[in-house]
Amino acid sequence: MWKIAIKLFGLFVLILLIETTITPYISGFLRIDLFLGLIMGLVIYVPFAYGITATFIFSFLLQAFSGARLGSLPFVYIGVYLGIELVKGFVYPENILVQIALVCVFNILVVAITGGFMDIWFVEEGLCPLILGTALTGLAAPVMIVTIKQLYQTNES
Amino acid sequence: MRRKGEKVFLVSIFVILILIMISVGSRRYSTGGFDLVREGYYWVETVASVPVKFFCNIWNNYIYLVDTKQENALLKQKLSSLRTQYMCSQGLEAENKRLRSMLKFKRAYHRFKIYPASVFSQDISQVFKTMIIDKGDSDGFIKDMPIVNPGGVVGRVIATSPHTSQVLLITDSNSAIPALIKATRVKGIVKGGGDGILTLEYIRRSEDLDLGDEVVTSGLLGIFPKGLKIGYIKEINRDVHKIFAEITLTPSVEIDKIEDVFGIESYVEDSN
Repeated sequence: MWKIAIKLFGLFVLILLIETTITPYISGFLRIDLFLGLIMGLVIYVPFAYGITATFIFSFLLQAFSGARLGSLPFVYIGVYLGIELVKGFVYPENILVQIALVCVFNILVVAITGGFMDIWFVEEGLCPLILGTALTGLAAPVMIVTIKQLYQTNES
Repeated sequence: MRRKGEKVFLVSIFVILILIMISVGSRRYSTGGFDLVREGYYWVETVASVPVKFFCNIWNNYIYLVDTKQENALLKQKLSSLRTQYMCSQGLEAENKRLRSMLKFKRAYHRFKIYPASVFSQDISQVFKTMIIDKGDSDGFIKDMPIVNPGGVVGRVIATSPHTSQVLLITDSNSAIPALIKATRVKGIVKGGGDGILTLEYIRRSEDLDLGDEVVTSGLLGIFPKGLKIGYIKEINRDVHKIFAEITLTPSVEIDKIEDVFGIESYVEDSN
């Protein structure tokens, strides 16, 4: 259990490095939410108790790198976790296209809800960065999901 | 059935924790605990970037160009510092002129103490406009310290740790800076639009305003010194049904392209 926890934490730090340092270096306005792919991977491959706990802890730590109000990121990402958990009963979540579509939809929801906390209509932020960011978030999701799968299966074996 | 109960129990626990956080965190900005997280991340990032920097240095300094790159970087840094100091002294100079003409006071000199820093990371969300810089309270950065660059005002420090500071950018919707229009001295409040532009509020629609007018800090509230450039009027909407004009500004700083910034310590009067 500790092994998978450490591996997940390492993956989380890597995501943080990419999101806060590398992506802004490439483009100042672009935001790619790799954390959504990680959450989807947790829903699909990791038992509920571990998955939701990891989502809560990681989203809480993310607060340190955002101007978001305390509690708003755990609220949003736990919501995403439960949303994907609910939806996975109706779709086949291991299909790449389903993963991309789901993550894109949830990315727009995350932006809309976090914007709602600040009374900002998310389209005000500019449609182009949002569409591009959502597309790249969706495309990155399968990579994150496969990584989680590999981490968990290596741990199991 | 047992697993379902377990799930409900876990979700309930997290919902309660989130509710506690939201109620505790009515103050929007991060607490001391997050400063520790940022500090830890600072060290992880520093260690992780060592091999990358090592190979980049070999390429940039020895293979690509032997000295020119280094010299250019140094000159750029010096130029940025001088431009910032020049911008700050422009505001002071104007203030001095007004003081002399109005009050016939003895000529006074003001001075800023400037602390350089580099942008370390940007906000992870699309909605909030904050960034983290690589200098913290051990380097003289304190909460509410104004952050500028040669272009103008960037934001202010909202949280610090020993080696990092979180900066609320002027474009964040929670940012509000007392300002005035340089040409007419009309005062208002500059607020972040959240979408990369600024709005100038509480300016009566009857005021004389022109597109392109420069807006600078007014020095009220004491956080930002007087005369720092904020932006230029981009759009004016004078609705006859409203008391105040709706004014949109273009920030004088390209927020998305900031790499180096300066923290300004409250200016001190030179007794000489």
